[in-house]
Amino acid sequence: MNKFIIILFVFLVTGCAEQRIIDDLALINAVGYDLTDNEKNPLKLTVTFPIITKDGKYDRKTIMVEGKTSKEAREKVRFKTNYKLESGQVRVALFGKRLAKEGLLPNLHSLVRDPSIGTRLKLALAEDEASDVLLLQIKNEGQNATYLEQFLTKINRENFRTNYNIYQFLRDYYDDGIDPILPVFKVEKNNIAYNGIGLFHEDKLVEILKPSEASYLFLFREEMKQGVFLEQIDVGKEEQASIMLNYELKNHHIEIPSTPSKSKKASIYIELIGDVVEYTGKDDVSDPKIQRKIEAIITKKINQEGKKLIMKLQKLQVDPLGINRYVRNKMNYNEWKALDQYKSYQDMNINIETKVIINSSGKWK
Amino acid sequence: MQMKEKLSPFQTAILVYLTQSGVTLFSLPRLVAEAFGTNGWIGLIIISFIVNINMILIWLVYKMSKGKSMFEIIAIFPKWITFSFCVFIAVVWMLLGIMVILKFSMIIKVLFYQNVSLIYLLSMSYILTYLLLKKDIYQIAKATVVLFYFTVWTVFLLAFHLPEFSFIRLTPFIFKGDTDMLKGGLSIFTALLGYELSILYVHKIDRKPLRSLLVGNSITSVIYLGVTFVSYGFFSFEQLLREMYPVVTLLGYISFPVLERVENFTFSVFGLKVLMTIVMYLWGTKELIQYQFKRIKTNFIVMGILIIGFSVSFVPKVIKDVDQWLTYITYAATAIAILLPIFLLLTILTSKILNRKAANE
Repeated sequence: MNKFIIILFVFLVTGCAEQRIIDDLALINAVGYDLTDNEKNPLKLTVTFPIITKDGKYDRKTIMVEGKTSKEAREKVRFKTNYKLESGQVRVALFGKRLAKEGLLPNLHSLVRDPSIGTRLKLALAEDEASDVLLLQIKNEGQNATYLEQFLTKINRENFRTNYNIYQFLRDYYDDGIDPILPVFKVEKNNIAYNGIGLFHEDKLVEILKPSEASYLFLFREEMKQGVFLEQIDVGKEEQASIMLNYELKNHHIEIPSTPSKSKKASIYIELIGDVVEYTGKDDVSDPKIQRKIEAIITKKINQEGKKLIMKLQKLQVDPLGINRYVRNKMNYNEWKALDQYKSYQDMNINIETKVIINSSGKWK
Repeated sequence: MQMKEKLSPFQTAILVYLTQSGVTLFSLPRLVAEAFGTNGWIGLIIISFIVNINMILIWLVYKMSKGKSMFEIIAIFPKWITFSFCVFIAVVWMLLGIMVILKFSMIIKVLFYQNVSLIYLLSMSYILTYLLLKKDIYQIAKATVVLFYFTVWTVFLLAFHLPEFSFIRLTPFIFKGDTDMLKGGLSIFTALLGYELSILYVHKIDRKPLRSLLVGNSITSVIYLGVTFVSYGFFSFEQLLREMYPVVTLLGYISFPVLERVENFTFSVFGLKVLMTIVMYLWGTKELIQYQFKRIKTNFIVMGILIIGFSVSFVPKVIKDVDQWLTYITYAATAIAILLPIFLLLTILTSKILNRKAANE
């Protein structure tokens, strides 16, 4: 009797679930947000999703609409396609530069509030308009979303530990001692290319660092484990050589001398061990003497460039290195709350102490 | 039955753990942050300690009454007192069990299965509950052991969060920020509720009852503490305060090479833990009702409880209502958890004194 009831139930309750046929779904894989000049509908939303064309080919469709808010614009997208929209597969959210300068938070909130969107959603900036990047048809590339997603994953894995997903961005935003950063992309000769790092003051974009500057930024961020150092260095009088090192970051720490009242000083220690991959100078790099000389030159270079970069960051009042977190951890709660963080950050004297060790000169003497 | 079955200490510990760990786990790190502020995970240790004291009270009841069950102890009271007493506790426990499963179903609906009817999710859980409730405590305990091995691996998923964990984010501040120690502490205490049901089965434990109860609570506490601690280093403090269900986000952050959005699966596995919570609470209700109406067949009581429960499930319409109900019910359940053993202890003591007097005369 019981078994009968259960079997009956099993069959009855299956009727309650809704069917979704994958061919009828528009599985959005990237969204782009831009600001428009239209006062009534200030937000431009671009969504792209894969489709199968009638002759069985794999293609994509990109829809662009303007609306008041992101969800209102999404409703408008609904009227522009014969498929059922699904945002569960969104992998990349791209923000235009103008919108980013106004602040990302409202849009991020509507993304993070939506339970169908995952916490690993990757974020990036477009140097111009996000729609340009998403609308671009690259030959033989297929989905721009997949391309961007792979690109971002690669950037993250290779050597820039950018904190690029929505969880990491919000984490750094809500942490009172660090500011978030995002990678920037631009359209370049019918291709999408990485073009530096956007620095944020709270949720507003302040400045975009060029890739060369950005590589120094990552050198001082704690998550960095290995990377490539490529720089023109002065060897001897009026002689320049290009050098490239594959390095491992052996040691990284930020120290704040614990002065009870005001900590106005900070030191960043880094230690690199690298292999020379390229050297265009005349000297013999396998010679330990020359290596020591080069080590000294690189150290000086990193200290110099790093200092320049940090001064810039201080002037812009952005703290992507999270130096304020170390300041906070040296203070008591009331002191910290009373402190004008950005002011004290601006006035801080930040030192860089670098140690470079050349491990080998590659497989050529 | 020829030989009386007993609960082994291991089964007891797991039974306590699975009854305790319920739906509050998903929001626990946020609740801790709201209650205790920065580094609030330390507060969890204090709460767990209070629970341990409460467990010792329950054990004392068992010890002082020389292994009598709760019903044997209260049998000295007039029928109408025990009746209202039992019915009150039964109603609280039943409502608690029902609201817990309702909340879980509602969360799972909001987060993952927006288009699935609530009736479907509830029916599934009620069928499973019925299957377990038909059996007695020994069978339930055996099932919990299986479910324990089914679910315990989820703890190791925390290892996936280590790359994002940072001690710097923990901050050196202890219990700072907007704190609400009393009310917040109480809401965290309710996350550990479930152990109080052991008063109904403490006399059925084979050996070392106190130790097995404490071990059960320790498992829960360690898991809660682990999850909360990881959350504190994984999220920044302000972010943690804004995450509705931090544990769901934690689960959602895990990525496997092939599968995307695995949390739909892991979250459903958590459902088994929640299932044990409702089963144990309804079992408690069943025992109390059975004691009052000895003539009715167990199966009818179970059916009755489930039908009432199923109907009550449709009274609160949204999660907010359920939360409101849960708040009041858990307050009542907390009061029961603390006062019931004390009351029983007093009963035992007075009856002992009375007996001694009677013997002396």
